[in-house]
Amino acid sequence: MMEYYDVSNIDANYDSLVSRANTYNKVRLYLIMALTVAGVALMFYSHASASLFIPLLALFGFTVATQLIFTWLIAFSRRHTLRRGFVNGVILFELISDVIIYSGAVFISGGSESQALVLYLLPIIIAGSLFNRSVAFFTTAITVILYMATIVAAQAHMYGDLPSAIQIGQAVFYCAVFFVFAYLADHLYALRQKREADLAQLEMVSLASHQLRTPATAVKGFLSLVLAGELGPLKLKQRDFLRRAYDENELELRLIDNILNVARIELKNLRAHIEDVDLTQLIEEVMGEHMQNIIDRDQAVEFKTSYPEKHIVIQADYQLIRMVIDNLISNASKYTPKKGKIIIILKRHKDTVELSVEDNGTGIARQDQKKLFRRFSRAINTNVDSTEGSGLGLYIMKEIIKLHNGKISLTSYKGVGSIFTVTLPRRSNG
Amino acid sequence: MAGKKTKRILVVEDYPSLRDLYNFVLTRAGYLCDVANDGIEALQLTSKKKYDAILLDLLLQNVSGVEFLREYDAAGKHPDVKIIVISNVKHPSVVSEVESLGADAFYVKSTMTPDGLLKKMQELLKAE
Repeated sequence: MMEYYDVSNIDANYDSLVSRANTYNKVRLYLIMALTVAGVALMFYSHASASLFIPLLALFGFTVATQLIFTWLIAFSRRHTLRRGFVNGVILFELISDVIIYSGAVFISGGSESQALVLYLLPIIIAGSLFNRSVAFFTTAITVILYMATIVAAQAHMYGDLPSAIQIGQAVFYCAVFFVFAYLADHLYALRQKREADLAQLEMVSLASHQLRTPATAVKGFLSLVLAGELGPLKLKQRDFLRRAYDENELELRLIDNILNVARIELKNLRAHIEDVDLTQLIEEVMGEHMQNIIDRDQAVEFKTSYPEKHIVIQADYQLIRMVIDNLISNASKYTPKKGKIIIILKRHKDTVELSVEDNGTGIARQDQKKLFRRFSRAINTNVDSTEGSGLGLYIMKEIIKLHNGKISLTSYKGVGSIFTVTLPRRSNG
Repeated sequence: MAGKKTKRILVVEDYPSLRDLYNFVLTRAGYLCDVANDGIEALQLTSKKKYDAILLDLLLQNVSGVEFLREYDAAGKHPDVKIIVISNVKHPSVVSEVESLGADAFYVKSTMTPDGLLKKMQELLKAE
């Protein structure tokens, strides 16, 4: 029987369960305080009968006693790391005792006429938002049974007869409302659980990518020193092999960033930290980083701007926009044959800027163009080994540009070349 | 360099290979270099010696780079010490925090070659 109501079905973490039980206890404690104040107010400021005093006192005593017992039991279970089943049992008894208390409040305050039935919503909402669906619906079912029994008992106690059809109909309506609340609370719980799991996953990917990036950064550093001839001259073949090792490492660094960014996109956690970004300077900087590759591939690159006298500045996320430019230039170089030419054009319009990267490379067939911006999609490259690249770059670019309320388009003809055009607003709307 | 005092730089980096790399490049360029593995070692060294510049990683064991900057009071007590922060985590909030704590520059580690970093350091120290 316990298994059906076992709150551990979903939650894998014992500590988290105990901590939620403690949260529940805290909420309950505040509730007792509020109930005490309400009870005292009811006694003194309403026309309530003095005969209510004893039942209210009994109710209050029962609440405090159960509170003490459950708080102690939870603390005891934590000290002795008792089985989860024990904690689950305590929570369920606690919820049931709450429903009994509120039934008592409904009984002494008028049965089917009592407004105290609002109190029933508290354990239902708490059960749904702190624990899982089974607990929420179990608590609601107990609530419905006890509420029905309470109004029958109250009617018999006060008038010596059974509730009328109208009273029963009203009670059934309230019971339906209880289930709606249980459903909503459970839905919120499920959403929160999913969000927590997503964030934990993102944190793991983030940590893993940092751990992977650090050694790759060290490899980049050592290789760049040797390649720069700092440790003595290199033979042609040595330089060639080291250059390839450097390029592979660069690819790995980019892949690590891509994996982290895809995780961010998938978990809806890619956020733009908007600041002023000098696009002219950024393009020159990224071009500089790719220059060695461009020279090695015997390609030419040209940067034109429609506003040469001044730098073009936009409001965007520096890191993300840098990634877009890096991907555009890297792709253009990768898919352009030897002696090919890459032209980067930056134009400033009234409200937007337009960056286009044009190459006279292999081009992309029409049927492949749409697929290109999907995850793990790669254009067939006759220049390089087809396994190069993760097929994530364009997907990430598209998402980054979307995040900035911009657009990316592609014009390409097989065997002629491609033009990727990115349009970004000059000012962030966010 | 004749007649000029050799500049002293502290490299604070917890990853041994990167620490050795930065130390190698800076020493070879003629700087006097000390290395620290974390913020605590960096605080101990800065309390004993005066540095012209500090190359500081952010994600460090024990005392982080940000905590080091706060404790060292780079902005208040040591405005003349040039501080370059290098990290793979470049959030604008982190950048503005380290800048407000006295950092002069912030670079993403994985996009920076040792020679690039050396050039930035030379520019910064020349600008004094």
